[in-house]
Amino acid sequence: MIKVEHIYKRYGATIAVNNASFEVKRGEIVGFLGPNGAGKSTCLKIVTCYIVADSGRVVVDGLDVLENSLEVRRRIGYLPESTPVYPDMEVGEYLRFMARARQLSPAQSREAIARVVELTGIERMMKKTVTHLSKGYKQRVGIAQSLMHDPPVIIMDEPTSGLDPHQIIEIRELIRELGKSKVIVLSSHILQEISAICTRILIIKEGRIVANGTPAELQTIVSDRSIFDARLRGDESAVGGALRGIAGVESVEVVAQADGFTTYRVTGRRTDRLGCEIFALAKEGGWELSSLSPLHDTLEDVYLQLTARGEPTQAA
Amino acid sequence: MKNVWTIYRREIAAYFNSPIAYIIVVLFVMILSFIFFIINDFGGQTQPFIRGYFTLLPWVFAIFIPAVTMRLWAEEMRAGTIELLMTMPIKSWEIVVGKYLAAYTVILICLLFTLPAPLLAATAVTDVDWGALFTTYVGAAVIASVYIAFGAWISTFTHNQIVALLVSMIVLLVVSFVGFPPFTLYLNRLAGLGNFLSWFGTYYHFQEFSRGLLNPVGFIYAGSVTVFFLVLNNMFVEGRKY
Repeated sequence: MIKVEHIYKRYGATIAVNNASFEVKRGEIVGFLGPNGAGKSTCLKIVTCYIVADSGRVVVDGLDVLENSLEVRRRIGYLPESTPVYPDMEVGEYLRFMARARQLSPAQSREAIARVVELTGIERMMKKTVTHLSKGYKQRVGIAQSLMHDPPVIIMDEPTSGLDPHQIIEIRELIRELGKSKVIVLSSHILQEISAICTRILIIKEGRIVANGTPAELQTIVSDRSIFDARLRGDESAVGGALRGIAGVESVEVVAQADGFTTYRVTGRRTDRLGCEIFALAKEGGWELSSLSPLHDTLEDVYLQLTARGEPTQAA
Repeated sequence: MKNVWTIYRREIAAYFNSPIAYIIVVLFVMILSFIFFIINDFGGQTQPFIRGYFTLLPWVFAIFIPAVTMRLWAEEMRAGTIELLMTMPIKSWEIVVGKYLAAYTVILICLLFTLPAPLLAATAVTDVDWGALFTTYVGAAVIASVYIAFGAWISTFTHNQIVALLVSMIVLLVVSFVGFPPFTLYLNRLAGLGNFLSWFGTYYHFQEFSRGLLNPVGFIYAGSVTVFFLVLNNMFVEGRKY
């Protein structure tokens, strides 16, 4: 549905997007994740035809954004960052303007407005001036606007920033619901948010896409460590010493003690053998092994690792 | 054309949803009336009274029209709504034209509200030159277009309406001054360019209209300057993408 190839965008001396490529398929909710100023918004603005990349190619639904800009814009619903709205307009007036700007006929526009108003739950706000809306309702009006023409692609820049926890949950549910029938690309600098809604995550740092995968994939792709929690009964110093003796193990720490069992967290270089080695040692030493479970780096660890400042960037 | 109409309606709503348009209309009429009744000797005039009303019009425009055009783009950029507008399936020239026409409408409304004064004055004098009254209003509407197109273009430079207002005012005051007879004479004496330069200012052309002439040169001047600045406006709006 969306295909971005080697785009590059520079503002003066700053490189906002550096050779970014990605693809979004039908049925996906893709999240752009990265620290503030990493180039998320710039990428989205290029796809929505608001700005033009210095080089590279962007295709939406088979149409090039430069050659068929108007057609691409017809296929996209866009919620820009911080939800700009015309403050002087009433909500109803604003939505009618947006429907006209989308070239809907009066009949289509009535129907579309009824649909988006119900979907976003802003029925009671129609007579209010946009300035007087709470942040949450303003956001909903922005989303309502982006759905007006029932676009196949929805692009949302920081859709939940500045909302309270209840509003965040509501908006997330709405996005999940929309994701069933539409392609959604959203951005956030909040990891929990992205991992809660998205089927795929793109991590962007200093204009480069440094990781691309499902939340589960990202955890394994990027992690360079193997970690196991082993719950054992045996002489503590002997067990600890033996575990430390496994090739590649970097640390062994006791994380829990109960009922005569001790849980050791064994962290080592990434290997498929660590579990086997621990099991073999237990058998050899005659220790009782009640559980042996692999742990993963959390997505947060991965994210921090990838976006850490000053580290060399992994090629996209 | 439908998109131009959509933008036009939105802009008109923006003017009249806020008190700005009303304040401008009231102030505009007050200032012109002040010039008319106080500076000109109302009772003692007969024939060319309408010229007294509008003598200073180019300068009044130079101060008022920037107040109308300042928000056209600056406000969209400040509020970020430009991002919505430019991602709609609407061509940028349609937005440029829609905005220009809306500002023009506000100025025409201002002019409309100035009508009662000369009509009232006409009851006090005999032998009214209705033709000159008509061509003066045509001339006012024609030169207004130059100010509006210029002011709209300046508004694309900044997020700050006040900056747009002041820059437009400064330049437009100069444009209104070019062609003002004493200045033209002075330039003629200085370098012989006065008559030539006066063609570029609004004053000379407006004067032709208020003499009762519908000189095509005036229309061509205003038309070409308007198109020039609207094209420039469109180029600047499109240029923001790069």
